Amino acid sequence: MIEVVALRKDYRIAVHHRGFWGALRNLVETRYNVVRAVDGISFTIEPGEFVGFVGPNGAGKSTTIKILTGVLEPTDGSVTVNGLVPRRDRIEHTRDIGVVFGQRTQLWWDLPVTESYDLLRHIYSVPEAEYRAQRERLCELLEVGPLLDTPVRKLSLGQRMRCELAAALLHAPTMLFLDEPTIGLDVVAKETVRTFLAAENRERGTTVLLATHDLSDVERLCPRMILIDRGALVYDGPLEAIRRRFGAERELRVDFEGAAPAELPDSVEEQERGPERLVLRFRPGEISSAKLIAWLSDRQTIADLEIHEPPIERIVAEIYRRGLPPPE
Amino acid sequence: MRAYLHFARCSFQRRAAYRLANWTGIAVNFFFFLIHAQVLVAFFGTRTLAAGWRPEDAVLYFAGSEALLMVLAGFPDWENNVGARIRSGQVASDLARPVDLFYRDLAERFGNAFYYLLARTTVLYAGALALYGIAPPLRPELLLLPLSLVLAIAVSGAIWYIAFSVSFWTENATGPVSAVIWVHTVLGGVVVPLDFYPDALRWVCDALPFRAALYTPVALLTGKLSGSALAFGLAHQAVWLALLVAGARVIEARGLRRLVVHGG
Repeated sequence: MIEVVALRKDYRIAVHHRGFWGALRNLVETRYNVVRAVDGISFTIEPGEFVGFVGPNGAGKSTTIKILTGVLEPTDGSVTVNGLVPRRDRIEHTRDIGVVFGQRTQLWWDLPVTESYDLLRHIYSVPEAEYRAQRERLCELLEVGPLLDTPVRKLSLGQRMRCELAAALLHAPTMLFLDEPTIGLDVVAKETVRTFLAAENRERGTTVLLATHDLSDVERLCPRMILIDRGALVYDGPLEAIRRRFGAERELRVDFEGAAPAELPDSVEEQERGPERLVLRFRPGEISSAKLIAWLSDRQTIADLEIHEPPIERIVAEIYRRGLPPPE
Repeated sequence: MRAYLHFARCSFQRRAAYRLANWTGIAVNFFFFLIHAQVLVAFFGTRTLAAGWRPEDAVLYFAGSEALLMVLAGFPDWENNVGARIRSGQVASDLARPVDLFYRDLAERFGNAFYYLLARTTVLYAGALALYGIAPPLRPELLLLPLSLVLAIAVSGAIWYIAFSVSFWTENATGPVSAVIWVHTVLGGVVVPLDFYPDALRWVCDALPFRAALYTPVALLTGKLSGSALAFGLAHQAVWLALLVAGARVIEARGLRRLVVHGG
């Protein structure tokens, strides 16, 4: 179980003076700015959960993951993972977790993949038979068998990421921390990774915390989403609920058999207008779809229409831009 | 322990992946051996003895020092070190595994050293001595060479680890590491054997750790250390190793507390 209470992380960043004289001043004087990367977030993750950890670039996702994996020391607040304090009990803690940082590698760049796997076997003291069985299973699921003898530097990004995932799971950890594992991957590679992660969570009960800014990862995999922005927790709950809570707006596209009506009801927002077409946004709480369609068909014959819920990306982008709307 | 042996093995294999680098490295070491040896031969001129050394002692010393220079990491490994790992953020991946940062680094130094011992030292030492027609001194003290080499590799590993640890604070450790390279080269006996220094400077060298990383094993290999000087050399290596390991641990613990990993 992961328990995070009022977690805070400040970075002290050196600020350099500008220009020629500034460069000289930098030699004798350094100023620092304190940047708050994580600002008092709290959450709990139960064993077996698959949680999407979402936020824009610089929101504090990676910092939080690094605190949870024992890499960084928090400035304040408390973090326990399976009863251990990650930074203090780093060696013991990291024995039972798997970690993938999408922008780093745990594989030895100049050596064949299999050498890194053998090394990891010894790092985690995995018995030979268990190691072989687990490696075979992962190689099959992630389709990395044919890559084992290739030096890591010769792998494509998608191939490498599949190898990284296998590497993170060779010791069969109960918990998996993933920081942007699908970044830069093509559609096929992304799908392989996602299918694999879903199966690991479903069949082996592995707890997964997936940090990403790709919401399609979350839609596909995570029943629960934690959304952070500028270091603070914005939302924690099911993905569907965020749509209900914040995505109240609907979009209506209508094609008419003549000129589109010039006027619209007050509560409706015009998105796009063509000679015989309208794209409108409305809130069902203010005007129902049926009423709006009836209102429009009274004024012009409707040829075709579509109603869309807003994509989750737009809802989240709105939250990033404007902050939380009040609950409906 | 087995994990660290594997780190050493991987490091060995990483070196072995680049054959061309080894051959060019041998050429460079040999070139510097010739320069050093010729300068010393010229310095001796018609003299047969200086600071208790004969001209062939000097040739032998530089054959040994160039042959062991890479084994003892007379220069740091610029690509694979704790500073580079902090700068690239790779340190995050290291810390997320149950591995000690310092001992892992040290294990890699030993892997590198073993590779250079096989691929470079033998070729260089044999080639250099053959060129000058000098027979290697085979004395019972040589039995202590493996011990001295292990201590020296660990001392030099700890020195570079501490130097690169500056990256915990400034990210780029190039300046401080370059300064250490110069001090190490001069006080470690790479440029001039320590026996040629004036007494005051030799005391400084005896007090500092750098001779433990180079001069002691090279002088032992080339027959310039025996008796109490040898005992002092080995004790000096052991004491400095203990101090440097303790220092590296303290610096690492402080550094980790303020570690920053940028960019994902």
